[in-house]
Amino acid sequence: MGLKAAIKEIFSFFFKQELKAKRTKIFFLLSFVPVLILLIAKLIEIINPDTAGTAENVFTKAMLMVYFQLLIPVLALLYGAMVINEEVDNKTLVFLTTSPVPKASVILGKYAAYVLLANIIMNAGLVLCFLIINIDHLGSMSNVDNFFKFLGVGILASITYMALFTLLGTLMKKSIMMGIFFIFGWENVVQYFPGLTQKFTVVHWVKSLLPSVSESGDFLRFLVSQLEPSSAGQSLAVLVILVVGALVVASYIFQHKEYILSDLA
Amino acid sequence: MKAVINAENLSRWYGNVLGISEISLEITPGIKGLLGPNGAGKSTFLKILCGQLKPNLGTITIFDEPVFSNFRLFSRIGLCPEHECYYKSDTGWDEVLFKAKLHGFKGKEAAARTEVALEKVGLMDSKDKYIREYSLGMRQRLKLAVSFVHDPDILLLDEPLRGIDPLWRVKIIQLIKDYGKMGKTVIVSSHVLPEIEAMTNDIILIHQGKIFAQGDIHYIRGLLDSHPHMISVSCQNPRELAYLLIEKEYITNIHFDADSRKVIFDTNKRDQFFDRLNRIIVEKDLDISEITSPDDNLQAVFDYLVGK
Repeated sequence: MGLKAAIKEIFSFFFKQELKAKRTKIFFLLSFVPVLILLIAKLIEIINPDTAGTAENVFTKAMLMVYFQLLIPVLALLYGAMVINEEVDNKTLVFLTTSPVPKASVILGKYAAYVLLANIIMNAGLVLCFLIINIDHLGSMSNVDNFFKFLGVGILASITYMALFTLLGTLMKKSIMMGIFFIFGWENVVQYFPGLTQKFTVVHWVKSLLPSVSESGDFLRFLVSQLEPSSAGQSLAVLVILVVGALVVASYIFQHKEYILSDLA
Repeated sequence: MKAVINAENLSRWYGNVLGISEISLEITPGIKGLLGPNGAGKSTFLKILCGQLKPNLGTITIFDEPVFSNFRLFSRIGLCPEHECYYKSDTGWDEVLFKAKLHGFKGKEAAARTEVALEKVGLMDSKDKYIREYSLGMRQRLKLAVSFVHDPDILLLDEPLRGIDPLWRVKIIQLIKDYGKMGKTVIVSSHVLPEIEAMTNDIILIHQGKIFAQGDIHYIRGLLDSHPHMISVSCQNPRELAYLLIEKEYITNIHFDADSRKVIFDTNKRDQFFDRLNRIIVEKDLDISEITSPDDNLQAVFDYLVGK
């Protein structure tokens, strides 16, 4: 079977399978917690007009931060690491690797399925949040352009993180620990280093693509607080190279590496 | 007959632990029993055969092609691994259908092949149940269905009867034998001797990572000249028969069965023993009701070879 056809079969199988999985349902429920919080804030606003702007404040100061700094990388880590680690842990890898499909199709098919699913989980809640804060003026919603920019950058960020964590999963069995260190250690700290160093983080390139403070207004300032943003073109190019590079290397490693699934025979 | 599998000096270690050592084999179509105790190296050998492991030394080819990372070769190979291997949120139907699709079958053909495979292992009635709700035996049968849904030329079965109930055990054994009769190559690994014996006489004995012996069970038995063969003779007067044979140097031991009219001889030269026995039967006109060789089975060969 060719690469394209194999990717399609594997994508289709794992997307459907993951939709039925318990963890997906849990992730979906968790992603709707911010929606619930915003709904409550909006209700307070409607009941008490003196608190106008509460929902928007909550959305911009908490939700978006949680979205970019936490939800995207953590979901990307969980799903990215699962691409291969899950097959090894459940000993189902042999099912795929004894089929006449290129090994790269396993990586790319599962990766694509999980990217789509993670983005549905992340973005369904985010879109609902945005609609809730604008519920009383849906005809004249403010910051629609910026919201869609954030959404697009969020999707690109998840694609990039997941490619990196897929690579990590093909390299090591316990990739989650390394991923946590990367997200909460490296990314959170090094992005604030001046000069060239900050460019060794993914978040630097992601933030460089976000709307600037002057465009977005005060309420988005926390998101774009960065020392020396790079140009949008350069940032986009770096993220695309990271995605392609990580997936190519992951496929190469998966092609040549042995995975020992059980005790000695 | 041309060998379909060629292994030359295959060796594989797991760190300092030996998996297999210097295994050289040529396997032709038919059913081959890969027999050995747990940890003998059977699964390591099968994992190398199906491209899950690379040998540290030596080469392996199937249909003259290298195995590792040669994905196209897997359209001709089916594997039933020793361990549980299923997707938890799948039904039996989904699992087999997915495998059929990975083998390039589409739509109705994939569904038809899935149905045939599930039918053969008796899982059509449970096809829509989640695999996690299957019993151990049903999951084992499902693995078998997955392994032959694409009608492979080579079937690698690692402990295929584990957990299967007696009724289905008989049916699966017949299924495997039928597969062998079709001219396919089937390699069945097991440490349960009667299982292998029920499927084939063509065996490969493996122990501590090395091939101890291979070939027909009777041929292997013949190799063991120094190991006494046990031959049981039931007749009207077993003591008379024992008297007539005791002078021969190739008789190493004689036992009498107290409850029945049976004498058991241990001999290290089976052919000479039978020549002499036949002559005595004719000359003395003995009334023999049964001659059996109770240890002429895999268990005896296996026990002897592994030094039990």
